[in-house]
Amino acid sequence: IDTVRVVVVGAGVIGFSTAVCVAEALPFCSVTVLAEKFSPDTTSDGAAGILFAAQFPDISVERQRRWFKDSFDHLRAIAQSQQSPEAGVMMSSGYQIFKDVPADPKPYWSDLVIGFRLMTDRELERFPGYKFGQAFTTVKCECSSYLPWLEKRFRKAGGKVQQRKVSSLHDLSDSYDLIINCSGLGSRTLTDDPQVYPVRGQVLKVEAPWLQHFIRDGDGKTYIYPGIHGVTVGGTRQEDDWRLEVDDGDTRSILERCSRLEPSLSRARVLSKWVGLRPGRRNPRLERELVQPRGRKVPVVHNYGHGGWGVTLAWGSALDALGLVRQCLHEMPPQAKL
Amino acid sequence: ADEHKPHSSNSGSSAVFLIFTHFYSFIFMLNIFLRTRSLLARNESLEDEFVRAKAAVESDTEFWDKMQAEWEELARRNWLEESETQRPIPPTVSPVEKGYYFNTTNPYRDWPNAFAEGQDKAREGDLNSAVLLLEAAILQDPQDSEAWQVLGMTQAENENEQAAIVSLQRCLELRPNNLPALMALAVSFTNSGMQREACDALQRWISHNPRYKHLISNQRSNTTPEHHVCPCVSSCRLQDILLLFQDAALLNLDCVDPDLQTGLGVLFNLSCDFNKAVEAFTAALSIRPQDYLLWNRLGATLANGNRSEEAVEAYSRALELQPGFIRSRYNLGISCINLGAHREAVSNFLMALNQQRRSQRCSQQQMSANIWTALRIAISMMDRPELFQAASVGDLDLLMRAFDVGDV
Repeated sequence: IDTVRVVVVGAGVIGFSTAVCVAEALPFCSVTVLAEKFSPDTTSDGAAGILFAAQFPDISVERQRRWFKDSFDHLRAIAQSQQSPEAGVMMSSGYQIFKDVPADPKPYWSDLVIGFRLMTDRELERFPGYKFGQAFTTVKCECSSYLPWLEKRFRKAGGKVQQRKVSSLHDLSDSYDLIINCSGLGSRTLTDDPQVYPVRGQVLKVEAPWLQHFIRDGDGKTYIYPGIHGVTVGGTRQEDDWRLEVDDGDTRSILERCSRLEPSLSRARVLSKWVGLRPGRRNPRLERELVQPRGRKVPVVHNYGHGGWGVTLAWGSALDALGLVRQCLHEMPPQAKL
Repeated sequence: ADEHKPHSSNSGSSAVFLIFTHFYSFIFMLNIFLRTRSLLARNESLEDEFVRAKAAVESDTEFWDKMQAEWEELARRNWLEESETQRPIPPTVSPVEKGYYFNTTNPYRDWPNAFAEGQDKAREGDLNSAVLLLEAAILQDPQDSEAWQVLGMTQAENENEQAAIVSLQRCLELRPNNLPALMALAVSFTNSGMQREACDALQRWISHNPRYKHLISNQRSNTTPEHHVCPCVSSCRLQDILLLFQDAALLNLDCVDPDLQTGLGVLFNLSCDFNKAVEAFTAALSIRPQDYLLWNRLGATLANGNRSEEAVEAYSRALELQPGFIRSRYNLGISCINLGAHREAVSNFLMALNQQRRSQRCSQQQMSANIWTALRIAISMMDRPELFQAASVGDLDLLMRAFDVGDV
């Protein structure tokens, strides 16, 4: 009874990052992560987890930069510590290449990653048909290791974890004083948000230890990301496609497109295939709301809809969510006593 | 949470710079507004001000961090009330008897007639003497359930919820069918946000009440939580108990049972149906217009339903009937904060704290931590950092002089 009961719905990278931030910053909160699926079965688990981002249209660049910078600095510190292999966080260098010069040749995060520069013509020679490219060093965060690492950190801060499907946020208002919604695509039903939609992504993991640099086509559909356990190659961006099964056509297409960029991949052994549904949304939803299901007003902090940029923005938006949690606590008016 | 180092700096006008770093809560905005206003009045250049503010910000951070901590502390207290257990036990107090902390320096320790006199003191509104006398009565006879009951109810009036809960629970261990203790316990649990425990106490109140207990058997097994399929166990339970009380009220068509109405008022508070709760307490007051506890409950209900102005009237009525009613004065201060009358809020908190220590000059332990917290919040809204510091270190005399609050 001596705590504010906080529940975080969702155990992906957004959920656990937010849970850790709240549990560590507000020790008088007892935080529970409540989710239907945990690692290794979350959407985050399949993400390549390389840090860069597209720009959301209606959120200030300043705010997006803060999300990016906070996440990048947090993960970079892990990558450069002893924790790196256990947390599944490493530095990675490579290229993003474009068939046409993009509208914004220097994205907003270009000075937040390391050593960002435009590719030279000599570097571009090996990619016929590509006119423009960016070279930089960034962080790669593999959630199959990172989520268990975060969970451990969360439990150390006194956090609790519970597996169960939540069908309505209202049902939580009796047992918790504050709800944090990090349910990604689940928010479509959980908060009746029709603006969230699935963006299906299929990837393969291949054995190609000779590959050291990432390559990403600027269209976001073809990429090669060398990681700690194999190389992730992809991908697809199929909007409103709910299929969770591996599509053999997609597999062939991925291998063909990636081999065009990196011919040695046609010889690589495929280790696994994976499909995930990104929580697509025009902009992520990071805001608070009061729900009042049966009289009792319970504040809800929403933190979902990061599309394919969940790993990139998780820590930064978790810190933003923490700020919103603080605001909710502050605005609870002093209660009069009967 | 109650330890506050004095902040070392004169806080300067750092708010302009702070807006870029902290924008958590409206208190910051409020201060920025106030400071900007005074800044414009002084006709200083904004740029100069910004440079100075930037320089001052480092030494100033501590002050703002503390303010932040204060808010979090309050937010926490809203849910839990006193978390006495987490605080170190003051050296003058020893834990005895199931978590109740007795005053160790009790001048009435061997007083004859301690219970009767304690009851008198409580009636007179000298709550501190009452607490000491009742504690003495209990130390003389720990099985005296009535002394535990009166002690619990007095501690609630004295704005010490945790002590009230422990005392009332002890009373009910000794005498499970003590109806006033059950009702008082339900109120204390409600104030602490413990809905399930409050419902349990109210159900026990019905089941031990000769007038209504037959309703429990009529209700079949309906009220046991195991039978619910829905996930919202506690809120369904609240509905069940509410129905039970409404059924009971139907038995009194030609008269009003003020205690039953009090239970209904508590239940409607739990379900945040404040208008219905107001009706219930008003009905109870129609039978007992001199009951200052009821006036305070009506006031608190009005306040929690965002009707602070009416709440102030109800509290004033309670305080007219019982000037020593600390809880009602605390509530009055809270309503003053909500109405933006920060100076009045501070005066009320100071008066309450002074009353709490009056009859026992050297003891801090009977002053409520949450009154201090509320006081610090009210002062923090007045843009008086030097007084905030005095509140942080608990310098009541300095604050009483600064705010010109006399010894009542």
